[in-house]
Amino acid sequence: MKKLSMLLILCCFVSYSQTDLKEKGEFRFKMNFRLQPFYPLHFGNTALAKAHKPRVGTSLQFNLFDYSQFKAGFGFDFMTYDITNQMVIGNLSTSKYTSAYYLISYEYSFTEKIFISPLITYGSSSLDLGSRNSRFGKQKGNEFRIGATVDYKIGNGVFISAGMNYVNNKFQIKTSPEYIDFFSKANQIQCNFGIRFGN
Amino acid sequence: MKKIALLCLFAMISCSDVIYDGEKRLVFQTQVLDGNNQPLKNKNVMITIFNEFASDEISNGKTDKNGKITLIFPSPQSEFHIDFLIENDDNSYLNRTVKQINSSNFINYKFVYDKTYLLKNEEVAPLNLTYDNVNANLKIKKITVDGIYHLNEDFFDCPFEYFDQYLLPPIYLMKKNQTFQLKYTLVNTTSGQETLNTVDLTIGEESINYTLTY
Repeated sequence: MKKLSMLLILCCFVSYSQTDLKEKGEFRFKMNFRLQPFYPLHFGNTALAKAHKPRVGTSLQFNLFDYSQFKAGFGFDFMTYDITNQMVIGNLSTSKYTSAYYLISYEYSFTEKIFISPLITYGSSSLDLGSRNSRFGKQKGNEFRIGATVDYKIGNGVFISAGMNYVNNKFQIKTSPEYIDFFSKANQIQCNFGIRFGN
Repeated sequence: MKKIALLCLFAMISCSDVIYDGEKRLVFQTQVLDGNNQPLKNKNVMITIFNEFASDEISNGKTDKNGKITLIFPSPQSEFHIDFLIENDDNSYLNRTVKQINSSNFINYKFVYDKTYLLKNEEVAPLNLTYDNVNANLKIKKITVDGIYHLNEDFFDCPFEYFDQYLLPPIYLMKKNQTFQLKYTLVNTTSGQETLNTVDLTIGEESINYTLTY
């Protein structure tokens, strides 16, 4: 927790310090970060849609590089699910989802205060069965997302944001052939609200 | 000292758990029927998984209107066997447990126990088997019954030798008034050759006796 706080402070410091350097068409290191609680809506005939109920998750995104209006960085998602159908998952109460991904976004200035940023990400994900007990193992996979975030500037380098993403997962699974898609695929629409620090 | 004791306790607890592979799922299916081949709905089926050191009630659920149930659960990392139990919630049926379904019985991560019969005490009569070994080279490897029956302890994949050594041979409680097949596999201990034998038997209202001569 202490480390995370230090990282957040560092991010704020770096992003504020770089605010005045912006010149169009120049590739440079320029950090901002987002903290976004989100709620996923799963759909399709998949284990996460049919046998889990998500709680509110948290997304942390760091943009590190800036070229023209493009930004590149990385992010993390954390979320816990309550298991609602133990007949298809087992006698477990929760699962934990984590993902780490690279991201590219394009920031379009709609007005002086409103910015729209379409984004695309790719990374790895993990579903920990029985999140309170590691003996149930992990289901690893990949994650792809496409979406957009709207930022509203409320102060110097401070924004409130809202966004929506489509996230597609492919998990590793070995099971009876008729259940491979059920356990290996996941589709979700993520709705998020949060705060962004840094221009 | 306290820390060492805690560490030892933690190590013991860790060893006594079933450890699962999060990327492997097993599928179990059966259909629960009464003695008249009618499906029994809302019967609770429970699966317990065992490894060398520990056991875990990993899955349970209720049968649907057709008496069918599919349970999916994570697979242990090491060798295992499962037992499944149909809970006798109102004591109207005889308790039914099928034991010793081994990891090798799961084909492509799936095990189907075709039909599980729940029978009432008044519906059954015993099939009394006696064993007459006249050829010292022959041993019974396995006995199965193709019909509607109840076993107090139904060992699914257990060689007959195991019963010879450790347990009493199973007593089949057959549903009354049916014709069924008794199947037994004999193995020649010198040549290793196995032969499957089938006997058609009929049971009425009373128990029947049959002697397996081999």
